[in-house]
Amino acid sequence: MEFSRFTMRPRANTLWILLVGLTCLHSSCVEQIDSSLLTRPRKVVIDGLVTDQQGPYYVKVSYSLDANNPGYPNHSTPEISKPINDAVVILADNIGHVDTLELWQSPSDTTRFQEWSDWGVYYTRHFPQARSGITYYLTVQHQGKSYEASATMPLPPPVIDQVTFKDFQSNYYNSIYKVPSVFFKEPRHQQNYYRFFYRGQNPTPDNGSSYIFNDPENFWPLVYQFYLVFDDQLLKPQVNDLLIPGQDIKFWPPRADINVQIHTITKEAFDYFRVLDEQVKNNGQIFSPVPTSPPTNISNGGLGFFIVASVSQKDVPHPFR
Amino acid sequence: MKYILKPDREYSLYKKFGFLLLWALLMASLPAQSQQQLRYKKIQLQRTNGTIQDFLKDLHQHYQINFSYDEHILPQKTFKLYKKSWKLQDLLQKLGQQAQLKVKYVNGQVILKKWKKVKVSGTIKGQNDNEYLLGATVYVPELNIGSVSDARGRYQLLIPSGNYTSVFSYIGHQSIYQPLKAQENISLDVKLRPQADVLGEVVIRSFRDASIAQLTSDQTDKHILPIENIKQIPTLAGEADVLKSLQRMPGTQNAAVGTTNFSVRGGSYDQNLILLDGIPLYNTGHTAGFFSVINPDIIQSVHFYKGALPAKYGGRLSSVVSIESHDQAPKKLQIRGGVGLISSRLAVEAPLGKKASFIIAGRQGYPSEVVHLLDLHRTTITGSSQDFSGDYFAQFQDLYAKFNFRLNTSNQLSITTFRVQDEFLNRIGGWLHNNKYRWNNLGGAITWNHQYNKQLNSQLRLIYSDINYQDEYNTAFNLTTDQWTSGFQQVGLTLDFDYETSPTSKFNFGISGHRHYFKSAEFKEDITSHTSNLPAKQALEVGLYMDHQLSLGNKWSFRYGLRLSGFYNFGEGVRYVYGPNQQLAHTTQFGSGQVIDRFYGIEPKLSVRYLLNQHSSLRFSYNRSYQYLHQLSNSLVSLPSDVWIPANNNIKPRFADQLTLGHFYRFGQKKQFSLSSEIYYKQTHRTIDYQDNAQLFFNRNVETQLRFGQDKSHGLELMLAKNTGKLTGWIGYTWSKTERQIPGINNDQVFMPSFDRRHNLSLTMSYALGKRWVISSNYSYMSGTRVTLPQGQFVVNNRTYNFYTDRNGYQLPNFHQWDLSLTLKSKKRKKWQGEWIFGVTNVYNQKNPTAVSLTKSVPFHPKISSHSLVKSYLFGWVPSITYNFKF
Repeated sequence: MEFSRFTMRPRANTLWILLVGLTCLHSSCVEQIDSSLLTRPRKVVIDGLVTDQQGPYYVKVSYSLDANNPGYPNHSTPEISKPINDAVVILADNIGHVDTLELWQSPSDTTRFQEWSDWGVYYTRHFPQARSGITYYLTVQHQGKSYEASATMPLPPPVIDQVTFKDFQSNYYNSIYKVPSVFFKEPRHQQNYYRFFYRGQNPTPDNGSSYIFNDPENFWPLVYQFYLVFDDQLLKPQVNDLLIPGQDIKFWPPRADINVQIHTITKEAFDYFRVLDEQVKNNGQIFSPVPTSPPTNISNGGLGFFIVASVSQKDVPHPFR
Repeated sequence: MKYILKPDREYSLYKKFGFLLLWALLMASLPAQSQQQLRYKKIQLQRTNGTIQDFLKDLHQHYQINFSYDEHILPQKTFKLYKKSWKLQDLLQKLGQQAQLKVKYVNGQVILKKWKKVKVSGTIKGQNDNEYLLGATVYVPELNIGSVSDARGRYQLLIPSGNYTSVFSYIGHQSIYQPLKAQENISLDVKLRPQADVLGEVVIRSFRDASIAQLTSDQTDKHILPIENIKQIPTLAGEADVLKSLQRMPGTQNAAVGTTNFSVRGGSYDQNLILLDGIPLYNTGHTAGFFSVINPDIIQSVHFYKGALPAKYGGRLSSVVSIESHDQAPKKLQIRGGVGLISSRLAVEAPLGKKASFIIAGRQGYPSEVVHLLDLHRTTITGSSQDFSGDYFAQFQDLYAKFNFRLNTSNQLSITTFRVQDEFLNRIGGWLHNNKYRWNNLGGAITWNHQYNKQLNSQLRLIYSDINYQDEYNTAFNLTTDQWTSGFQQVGLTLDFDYETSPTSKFNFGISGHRHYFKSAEFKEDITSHTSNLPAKQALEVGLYMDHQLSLGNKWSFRYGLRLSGFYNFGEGVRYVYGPNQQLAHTTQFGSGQVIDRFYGIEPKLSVRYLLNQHSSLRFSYNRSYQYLHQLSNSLVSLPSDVWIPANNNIKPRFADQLTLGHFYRFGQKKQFSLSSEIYYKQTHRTIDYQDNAQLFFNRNVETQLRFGQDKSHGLELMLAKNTGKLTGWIGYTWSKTERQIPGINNDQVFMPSFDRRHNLSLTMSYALGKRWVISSNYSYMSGTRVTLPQGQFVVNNRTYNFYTDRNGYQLPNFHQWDLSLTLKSKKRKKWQGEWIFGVTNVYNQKNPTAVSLTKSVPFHPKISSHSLVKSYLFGWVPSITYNFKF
């Protein structure tokens, strides 16, 4: 073989491979802000729920938390709540009923009702069962300020015809959940805003299973993490198989009953939950719209919401029983 | 007598009007003075104000200087001189220039004659391709007179006879300085050499032409950016970027530096009309706006108007960015390309026979590959390292092609087409919520330039633009994947005429019609598998315009025009009427083709320029513009979910009035410096913003979420540029203030938009180190962005949520950043030419925050979650390396 001594001329191909020598590309994206910028007085947070079910009804009163609330990295517990236990809470309606609520004193069973004392929970003593079409007024007085809210009970939701259990593929956890699926007739003549819940109810308290949630009626929807909010415009007249994603019922003992609830809520409450939901998507980063505080029906700078809801519910046995 | 009587046409005129001969008798009696003595005679004037005749009489009485002239040629107006002591020669030159008189010294006499005007005309061509150059300038510095060539490269100047110099220049070409012996009408054809190759030498000379053009332009606040300059500005990851280079200009602001969105003089991001060969670009950003969709390989020039928008452009309130792509035919096949960290490019340019040529240019972007390759990590507030690469995926492509056909001397046809494609995945909070965006753009234009005669040219343009979006998003709570798709389409026809009645008077007029088609938005809900639709909408936008450029004398130039615009929504569609509380009162159905809404706008425009002297000018402009399309943007950066919607009975068209006053000044020995200063006041009516907690996404009645008010902006813009020499560049400074007041937002109180930065300083310069090295630097210092900050948290259903300050109620720390790049060019070789660009963005690793947000260790769980307020910034220091080649 003969070698000829050509001078090599650069060819296009050889010059395409050029990304070398970059060893020190370093880029960070977040940095903690000086929290002293944000020392402002705390706000009062009021969460109330009145349903058309048998009372008592509950109102939580607490302070807001600081934006900067570190703790976890140092394994110290972050500040989780600042209950207000010295407020005067009054519930009234437009047909003459008034009741001053009483502060819930921590029961002896602190493991189960720990949360109650966390929140500054007040409950009605002598208030009649609420009804559709009646307007309810909530007043909370605290340190010389009065926070007020009112809402009119919406029409009752449709009756739940049937509940089945379906597998639901979670894209996030990449696992299959067993969740309830509901069937009902959607009344087309009225504009409804729905809120769906379900929980495992154990006839006998079972402290061993933290997935069981035995808080009283009318209170648990105030603290339960999983719910689904829907504008009925997205639903068909006959709703079949509407999945309610939430906790996987496989983790509940088969002896538990599954309680499924549909609440109809006001347009204002729907907007409140919608905005809260938006906040999950909106982290205030550059990919997000300008954030704003969630709307509220509580006056005088209070946070939270006074919700009135009509409820339709159905208990079904655990499918694995 | 003999001195003033010439056997020409003037003689009979003199006789006809009974010409006056002064001092004829005195001529003989006075001793002859040597001409030299006369020229340098020291004069102490008695006055600084007066007509020419007053001055001449004084000179005669006090210094016994004899003048010979015809009284008719002396203007009657009063002149003002700035001093009293003069040399005769200087004084007469000054007076002669102002009164358009020619001064001659003959035998101790001074003869004044009217300027004889001669016509200088010819053509300007590119040397390599022999193509006529449209918009090339010819300028006579001594007279401060200039003109611009038309589509056939023709120019014409009327100047007093004499010997001068002329400067011919064109963007991307070397200027020619040519002696001009204009005793008679002359014809002078020139050929300009292209400014080497784009890669080749560093070309800033074209800036000199820009400064001349700027001096004589009657347009306030117009900037011309030669592509060479754009390519020299150091940018993020070494990607040359037109839109980011515009952000270096005074008057433009941006809330998230590093992205392509920009606000001009307080206008929202959607108020800029960005045209590529006349095709409006509705999506300008790749990868959520971090890089612009415009491939630098195809650009010939960029014109950026921010104050007096020319009447031929309509539909936007704040600015026009007109990008013209390459249309110069190469002599032979030419291949250019580059390899960079973010993208690689390749462009092929070649002639097709004698009369046609084409350019095809493509880019493949792989921004996330670099992130993955380098195992880029980000530090969380907890100090632990979090894998960043998994959170982020992005890639893009764009392909561009243009064909030019020179049919004959009076007809030219060009076809432009491009396609842009993007994919972008963004995860928020690691796993909490993610968005996968896909979008693509398709655009095309057919342009036919026709010349009827030497005065009249026309351009007929058919454009097409199409965008499709898709957004897939999941949230952890609902465990679902929802899908949203939409799009937008525009087809338009414009017919534009240039009519030059004389070298000092030029008309531009035409009509345009655009059909906008807002594709139906489709939303697929995972839970119900329910698909819902927002119906498609269509609209027609028309414009009729005329504008007249008129020069009066040497000093004054006027440009006045009017644009009449109209906008029609037509069916099939629904008109929604809302009650006082935004509740739907009633709806009206419209059939196919029926007009639902109609709007009209009258947009007057006026610019005046006054030349103070050879080196400085004053300008004033007033401008009104209308905008019928609105963009609903959901984020700080540009995402495809930023949808465009038409004006309707609930969202009335916006309009803006703007006043600008400017001064332009060239100085330095070689006039290498220029200083431009401008002040403006702008008021935007019916400005739009969302109400608090608006539901924009997939809302049939999105107008209920909008609120309308007013923007008031004013500011001062200064720009000092050095245009020639080894060191070139500019310093821009803007002081500006924008106040927005919208009933229903922020408790009806005035607030500032996020991009409102009070001070903005930018320093951009390049220095040539020998023949092969160029170092470029870029420094910015500006007031911080305004943000809405989480003020605290509260717990709902055992999840934590934020509450916030007033809208944009908090200002982030001031922004400052220094970028640097070093270019090494290969030695001059015949075939292969290469160029390395080494760059560092954010040299001293300044962590400039763009947003403040709360991070939660365990999202929404108050019992175990800690949360911290963190500033996030887009990037620390980013080195880059790019190789460009050409053969």
